[in-house]
Amino acid sequence: MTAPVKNTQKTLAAATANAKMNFMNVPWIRAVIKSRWYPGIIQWMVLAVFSFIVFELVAGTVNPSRNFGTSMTWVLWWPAIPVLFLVLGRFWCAVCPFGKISDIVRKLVGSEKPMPKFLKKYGIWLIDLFFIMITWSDHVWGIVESPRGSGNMLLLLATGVIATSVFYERRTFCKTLCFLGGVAGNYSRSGMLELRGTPEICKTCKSQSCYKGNEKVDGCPMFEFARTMDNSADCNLCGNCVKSCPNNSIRISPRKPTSELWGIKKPRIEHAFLAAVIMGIVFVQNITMLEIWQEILSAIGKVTGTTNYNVNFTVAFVISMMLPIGLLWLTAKLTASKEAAEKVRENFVRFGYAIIPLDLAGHLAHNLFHALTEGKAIWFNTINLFGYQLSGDLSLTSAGTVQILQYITVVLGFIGSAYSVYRIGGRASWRKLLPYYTLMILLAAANIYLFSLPMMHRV
Amino acid sequence: MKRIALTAALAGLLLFSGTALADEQQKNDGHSDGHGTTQVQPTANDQQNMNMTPEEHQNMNMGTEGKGGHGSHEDVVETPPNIPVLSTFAAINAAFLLVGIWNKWVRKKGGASA
Repeated sequence: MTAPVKNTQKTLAAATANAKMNFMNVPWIRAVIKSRWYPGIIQWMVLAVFSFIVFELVAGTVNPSRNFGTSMTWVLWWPAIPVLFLVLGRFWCAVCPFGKISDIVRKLVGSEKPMPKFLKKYGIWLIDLFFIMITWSDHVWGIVESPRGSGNMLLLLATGVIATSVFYERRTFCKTLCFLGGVAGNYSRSGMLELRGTPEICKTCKSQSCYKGNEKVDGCPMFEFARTMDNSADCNLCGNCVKSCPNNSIRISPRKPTSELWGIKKPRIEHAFLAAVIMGIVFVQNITMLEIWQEILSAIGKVTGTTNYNVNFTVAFVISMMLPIGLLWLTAKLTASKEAAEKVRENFVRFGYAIIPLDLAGHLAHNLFHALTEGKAIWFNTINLFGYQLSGDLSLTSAGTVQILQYITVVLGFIGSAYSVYRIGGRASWRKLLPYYTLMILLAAANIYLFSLPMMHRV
Repeated sequence: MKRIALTAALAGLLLFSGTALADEQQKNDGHSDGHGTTQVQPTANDQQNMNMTPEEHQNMNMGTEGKGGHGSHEDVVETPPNIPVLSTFAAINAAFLLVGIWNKWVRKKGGASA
């Protein structure tokens, strides 16, 4: 064998070793994603379960501990969803019942108008606003703990989905208005899965069917163009692009968790703001479930001069929201070489993404408590649907074990956030990035402190 | 980096596991309805709470005006489905769907035939 041939073989071998693993090369995964039944069959199953959950919420018992809908929504689904985002990206959005409702409405009566410019420009801000409003409403009206409240919230979301789907094309609601979609987008950036086009193949493509679709398959429901897609925030893994691509260019690969956060090409302030807001929401969710919450309310009441829950809660809510946002802004200001507002804004936006792993960890750790100490409610309430009357201790494990798991989760989130700071900061010296590391330590410590306090149950 | 991460995780675990075990006794206190109750030894606060009836404990937790917040389970009074609210949702959604039908089937087809 001659030397040039050997070199070529070595280069090819090196390229193969460096190439990312592609799940599309696994025959059964490729067959599943290319199948006409994917994801439709899962969507219909999820829609059937969802319909029954809504029925139970609006017409079943008002006792949250006994309501099948409450336990399935808040003890199973809500704690499981961050894990799904971490492992499978936005796959949930591909099978989401609201997404399926949107698909059905558009197919039957949709006008398919282009997404309004206003939504395109301010969509994520609206998501931020809705997420804040829904969390506030939950606490003021007790949505989570009221089956009727939860049912009405789901019906309200369904109304929003139907209203937008009647007029606008693709999944306009999911992309620009769904609060869960916003959270899903942010969390999926930390996820372990990515779908991308292969640049060498895509650059020769003239069809653009991944975006436009073809006669058999719709275009990307999330308005993404696989050729230029550089993040996983808006990819549902619905497989439309896989099916429509004439060149088999699409790959689905595993990746290091948080790696997408290290090199966001076009960081946006609304994403960074949402990351900080989610941290505030995690604080609110934790604080209001603590047994010292009543003492906190009383202390606020002394300042506001009223014992009205809504007023005092709103004060606590605003403080919790402003705390991470203010701390991030302060850190951005501390690290700005000059006091130029532009530089502060740039730092706020770039390093805001680093909070996402801690958001995910805080969300997961908080809900671990519910899933593991109330988990048997899912089993009991499912069995009780068939006429049995099972009841008793709902916990799957001891509170101490849950606490240790919560601490481990927060520590892992902190490592993810701290490492993201290191990479976003261009591997700069620790002294230069010290304010950001301090911020992450503060946020992690606040979470750990809150998890160390006794907490109330949801059902 | 891996070594630092591993050390930090271990340090965190060791530092806080003591707190976890200490707080385990307090966690879940006051849930006398049998939900999520872990068998724990009562603390001084628990002793005080144990002397209360569930209603008294509930009243203690709801010391402020109004409702809302988490963990505030009151005695449940079963109520039927809220028909006016459900009807409103149905009417609004039906109205949107009718607009869709009008747009897609009536207006466009009418425009095409004109």
